[in-house]
Amino acid sequence: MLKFLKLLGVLLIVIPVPVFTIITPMSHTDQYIFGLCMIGGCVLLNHLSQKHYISVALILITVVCSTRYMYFRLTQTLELDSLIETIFGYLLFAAEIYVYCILLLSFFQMSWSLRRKIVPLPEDTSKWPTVDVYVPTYNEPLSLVRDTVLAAQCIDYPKDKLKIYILDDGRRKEFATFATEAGVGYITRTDNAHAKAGNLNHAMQLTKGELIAIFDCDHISTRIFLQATVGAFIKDPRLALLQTPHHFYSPDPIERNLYLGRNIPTEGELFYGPVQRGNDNWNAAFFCGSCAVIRRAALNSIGGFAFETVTEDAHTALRLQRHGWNTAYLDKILAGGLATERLILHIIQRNRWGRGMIQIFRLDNPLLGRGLTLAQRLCYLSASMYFFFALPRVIFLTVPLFYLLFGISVVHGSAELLFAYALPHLFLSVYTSSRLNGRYRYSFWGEVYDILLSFPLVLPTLAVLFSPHKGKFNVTDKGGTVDKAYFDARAVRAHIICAGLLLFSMVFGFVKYLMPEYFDIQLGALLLNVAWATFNLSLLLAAICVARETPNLRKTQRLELKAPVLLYQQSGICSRSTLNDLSMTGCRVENSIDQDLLDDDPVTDVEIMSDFSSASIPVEMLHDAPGAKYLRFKFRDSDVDSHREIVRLLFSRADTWVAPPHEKDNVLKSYFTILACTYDSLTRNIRRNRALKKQRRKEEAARGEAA
Amino acid sequence: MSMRNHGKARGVLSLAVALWLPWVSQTVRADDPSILEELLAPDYDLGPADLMLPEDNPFSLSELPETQQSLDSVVSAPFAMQLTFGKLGAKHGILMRAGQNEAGLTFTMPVDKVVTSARLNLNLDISDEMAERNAHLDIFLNNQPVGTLPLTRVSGTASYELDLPFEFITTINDFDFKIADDQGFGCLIDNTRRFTVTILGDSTLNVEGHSISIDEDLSIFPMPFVDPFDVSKNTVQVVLPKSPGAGVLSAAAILASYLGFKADFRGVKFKVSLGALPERANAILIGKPGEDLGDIELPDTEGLYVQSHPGDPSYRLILIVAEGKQKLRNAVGTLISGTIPEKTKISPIKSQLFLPSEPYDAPRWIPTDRKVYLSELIDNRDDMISAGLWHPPINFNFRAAPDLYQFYGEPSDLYIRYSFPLEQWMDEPHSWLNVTLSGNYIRNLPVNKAGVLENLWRLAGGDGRKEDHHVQLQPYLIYGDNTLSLYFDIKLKQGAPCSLLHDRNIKSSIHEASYLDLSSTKHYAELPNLSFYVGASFPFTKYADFSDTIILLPDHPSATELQVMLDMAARAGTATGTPITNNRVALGLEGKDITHTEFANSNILAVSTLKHTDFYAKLLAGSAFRLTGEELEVKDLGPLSMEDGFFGALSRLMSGDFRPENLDAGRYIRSNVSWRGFVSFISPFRGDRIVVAVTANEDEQLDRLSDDLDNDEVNRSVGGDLTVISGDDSVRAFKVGNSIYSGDVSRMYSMLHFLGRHVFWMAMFSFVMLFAAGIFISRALKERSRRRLESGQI
Repeated sequence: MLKFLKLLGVLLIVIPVPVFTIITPMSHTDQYIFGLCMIGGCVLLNHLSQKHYISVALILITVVCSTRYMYFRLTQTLELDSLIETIFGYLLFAAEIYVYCILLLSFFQMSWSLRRKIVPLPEDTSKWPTVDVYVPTYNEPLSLVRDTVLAAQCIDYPKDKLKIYILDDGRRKEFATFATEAGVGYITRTDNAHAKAGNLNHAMQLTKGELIAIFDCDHISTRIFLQATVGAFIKDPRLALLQTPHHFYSPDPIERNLYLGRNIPTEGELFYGPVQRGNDNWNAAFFCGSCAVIRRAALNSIGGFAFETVTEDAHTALRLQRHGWNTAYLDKILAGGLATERLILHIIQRNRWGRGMIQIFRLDNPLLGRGLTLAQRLCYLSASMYFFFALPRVIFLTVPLFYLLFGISVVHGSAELLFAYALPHLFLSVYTSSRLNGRYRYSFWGEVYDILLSFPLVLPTLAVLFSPHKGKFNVTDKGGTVDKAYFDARAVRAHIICAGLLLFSMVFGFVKYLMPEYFDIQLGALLLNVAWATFNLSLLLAAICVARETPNLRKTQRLELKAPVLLYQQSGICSRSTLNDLSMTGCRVENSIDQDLLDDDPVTDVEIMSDFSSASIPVEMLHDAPGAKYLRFKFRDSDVDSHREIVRLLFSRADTWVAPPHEKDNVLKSYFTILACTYDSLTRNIRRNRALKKQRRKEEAARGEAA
Repeated sequence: MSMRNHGKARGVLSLAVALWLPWVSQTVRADDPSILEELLAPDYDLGPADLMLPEDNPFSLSELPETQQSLDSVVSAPFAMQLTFGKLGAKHGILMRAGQNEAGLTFTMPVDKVVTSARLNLNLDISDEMAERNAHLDIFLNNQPVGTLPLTRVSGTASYELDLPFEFITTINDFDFKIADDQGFGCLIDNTRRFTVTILGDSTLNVEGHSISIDEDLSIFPMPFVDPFDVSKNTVQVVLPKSPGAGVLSAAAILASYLGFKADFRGVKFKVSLGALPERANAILIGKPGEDLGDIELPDTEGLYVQSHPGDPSYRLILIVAEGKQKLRNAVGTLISGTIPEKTKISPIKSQLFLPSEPYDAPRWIPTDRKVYLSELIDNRDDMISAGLWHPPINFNFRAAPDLYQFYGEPSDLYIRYSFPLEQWMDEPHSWLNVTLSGNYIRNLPVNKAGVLENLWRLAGGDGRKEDHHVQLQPYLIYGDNTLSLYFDIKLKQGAPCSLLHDRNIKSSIHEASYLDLSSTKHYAELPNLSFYVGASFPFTKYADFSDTIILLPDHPSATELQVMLDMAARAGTATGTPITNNRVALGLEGKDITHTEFANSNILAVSTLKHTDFYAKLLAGSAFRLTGEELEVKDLGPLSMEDGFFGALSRLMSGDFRPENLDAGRYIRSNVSWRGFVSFISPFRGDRIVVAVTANEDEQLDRLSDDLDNDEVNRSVGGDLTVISGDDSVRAFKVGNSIYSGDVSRMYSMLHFLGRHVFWMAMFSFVMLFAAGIFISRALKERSRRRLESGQI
């Protein structure tokens, strides 16, 4: 009671300050003074220290400035003249409310990043729970699933307590054969009802493990996966779920087509970093479908995996939490998988996620219903609302067109005043986010990701919003390749049209300004809209560049790995060397053998040695120019055991996926990086052609000299 | 017809004609029948629109015989008068140019004056191109040609003198000017605006003649003191007892404010004599029954009297005889009530009901609680239609309470519905409706809707006319006296026919649905502010009847001080349009301590020279001013000064209020040997009341104040809380004292306003508070995460 009164007292003193700060009207010069004071103060604080309380202060100041902007928009800018202006004006305002809500929710979610440590298992292995590992598959090739299963077999856990199952919804013979060869369980069923959720639920009826670990068929786990995760279940008997990050060792289309080798955090890093850790702090970490351990008892209490939506994972977690179960998130990369290969597949995958999250929003809204704490509700709300971004994003992209093309002012009042109010709101929300998540997502890249998906997702998400029961589970194709460079215009057609319109409208806006007798154009509003359109255009171009698919021919990933190897030649000569890199199909070894010796006596087996084991693999030598630095080998078809050894070597080490953190974000630099990426992507062909020409010229010259 | 360039004089005049002409007829009859005949001559085109003669036409000849009786009493006095064109409403001159080769000017003559000679001095500014055209300027007076001036070979300024046939001059007169030449000047469309002639505003009309006396009739009051046909400022003689009491002065103030109200923009000036009758002048006498006022003893019975001046029977005296505050108030009330029957020489005093004012109910102030249709702001709704291509702007005059305040981003709404002529020859893209407010350009409204779709639609033959617009008026553009000017700036396409130039059937109009909506404004302002005072007698006129004002005079005020007090009362009447019927006058501050209830509840308008030191010592207590000897001093309230105590200094320091002008102001006063001016400060009796002291260091200086305020430039320069006027017109305004914000707003509103004025401090304060909250929340989150990791239960 005393504590409550103390809190009430503090609130009574503290709350009037932001309230008055939010509602005091000002002239635009005063608002500039106010905004610059706040911005200046925040920049100063940010450079002062990396302490958490400064982050919270920055969040609070940003929230006040953004709320002030929204209050201004609500009270002073919505008196619009005509019906059409009113419609578009309110649409824009609705989009801004959405962004504002997401901003508040994300600040709440990420207010404290919980850094969970691995809970060690008891010494006595008999106390360890039994674990079923599920590898659900539907249409993926065996080559992909095989590695996952073999890697699961390499997990360090008592053999009698670990059972691995392939859950094949594709009912393929070769999978059954492989399961037998490898010594894992094979479960299939007669129908494919409820897709992945149905598959998992079916398997649950046939197995008995206390815990269930789930790996999508492309997620190759490290050997410590269970040792790192199971301890938490023993410590907290109400823990239903422990999620670990999804790490992709292949580049996603954005990374491959736009980053062009730059060291920029990938799209998923924000979610599997600050977001899930923040969720965990509020006991609202959620299931992401793979790389997670779930308690069977908890699943039983909610009747198995939820199958009402196409994102069964998040929905299952929500259900578990409604029933009072805890969830947790361990931010240690314990498995690696393949990212979507091509842009169009990426869009299809996000389409499913978007539809699923909106289904949850409609069918099992986290704000309503029983069992959740307020914080959990807000975290789940944030997740389920996130995929509404498509329409607001399209609105933000196209709003400058209204004024520049048709002279429709969607905001009442002077451009100067609007800008004065928007400046601290926009700057601080970007700046504070950069401080909070700077190592996980660079500024403005979120906008690029959203813009990329915005146009394709508008209709599907809206459709689901209005009829949430429709929607099919579509499986994301993975493990494919892009054979040659091409431009996927189909995926970004709307983006191209929008970019064209923006470009045209900017020119047209200036033309109109020069003809005042025909067009009523205010300079301030023109400049504001042109600046806005320019910003939009820059991000839009970046998104369009993602559609310039670059070839990625290697079917499996190559890892740089230094390890001692023994090379066995046909004649039986054995020589030492060092492994340079390794992939599932072959390896490269430093050349330590005389060329003369090799020509007649090729290497037939390579024995790769690691701390725990060694494996000898039959190889075929690939012929390079004599005296090359490396010897290249292609693995011959090998048995499951040696294959398992390659997997163990390649993927099973505990530190397989450890990577140094990214550099800290710099807002301006990040924007210019986007421009540079776009520029590089656009000029890539030109440069390549130029390089080819140069090379040809050199060759001709050399030939000429030789002649 | 011609262009009438007479600003706001016109509305007042036509109204006045309607009200006053019955009386005019009598005067004219009394004086000289020949003038009447002239007035009725068929040549004079005093159309109904201009004159609005009442039903019983006073010019009826049948009434003539009656007037013969009073001919004996006619005594005449000579007069001479100079009217500048500026005074007649053409301050910036009359611009004439190709395509717009006609212009006009209306002027009036006081009804009790007969003109015997008239001379026109025209100062012209002629452009070089015009000078080469061999053109001439024809001048008409009341449609009669009176002269032709050559415009050839003279470029730059030129002056002409022209004797006018005085017999053409009547009460209301029109000058018409027309440029003509043999080369079709009337058909020249000159978009380059090179062919121009400007009749400068300093052109004059000099008239001489004699005054004629008017009837002894109380019902015609305020004649002869204020004559609506007289464009000059009149002086009113007021005779008071040797040492007048508060009641007499209060009554005189009501009367003065009434005359100010009636004189309107022309103003009125008072001359006070104490216990002596001025020679050869109309005068108002106020006193108790039987009181001796020098040359005249007031009647023994209370009442209102009118009689001839004993020294010069051509002048009239109005006697207000009553005793006691209430009686005197009633007496003045009766005189100005308009209920005295015609031809009354003696009237009893009737009891009057003076209902107290509501805040901001001055009749002349535009309402701010509702939309005001523009048609309410113009006397004649026909004036909202402009005929022809060349026409004056449509002017809407309104006064507003000076303390109108709007928060940023809530501009007032001026809704204009308008229609341009539907004509083929109009150059639509280059024609605009110009909107200006008190000379400030607001915006140009187009003929057609702007925009891509609209232009395409119009090209396709659709109707693209823009017919209405919401114009946003920023609050700072609206002050005491405003003129909203709408001008249809119509341009013609090349090759438009000449006939169009003078086609009066071309109509552009402002629709009656147009309105001005000030309802988003609040009454809220920083006081003291002397520009509010000189502009609208604010804050006293917040209650238009002065019911929360005490007019404070020294114990024994001099005639000059009284006269200035009356001038100030008249200004209040002019500003509000209603007499200050509930004013209170106090003489001296003897025995009034700071807890005095009546003083604490009132704003104080003090009129006194600095000679009354005791009086000022009390009044200036606690303000930024102090009196040393008879010198006014300004306290130095700089950042380090503790003049007003430690906390005063601290609060000034904290709010960034460094009073940079105080030292300057002090030096400036010391450097002026003699000066007059205004001093305003927070009342010593109560912290939310204001004192305005109209003061000077001697009577001669104080006497000049009324004339000073008539000078536009001086008037505009008055401001702050100290204004010092010295020499002829050198004005300095300073802000030296504390100020308060006052008005009819909620506590929340004033709080927001306070914060809005201290943006930097507010930003700093909330920054610090949020930072502190950040530390608090961060600690709570840290503790929470620790517990979650340890127990896993939260």
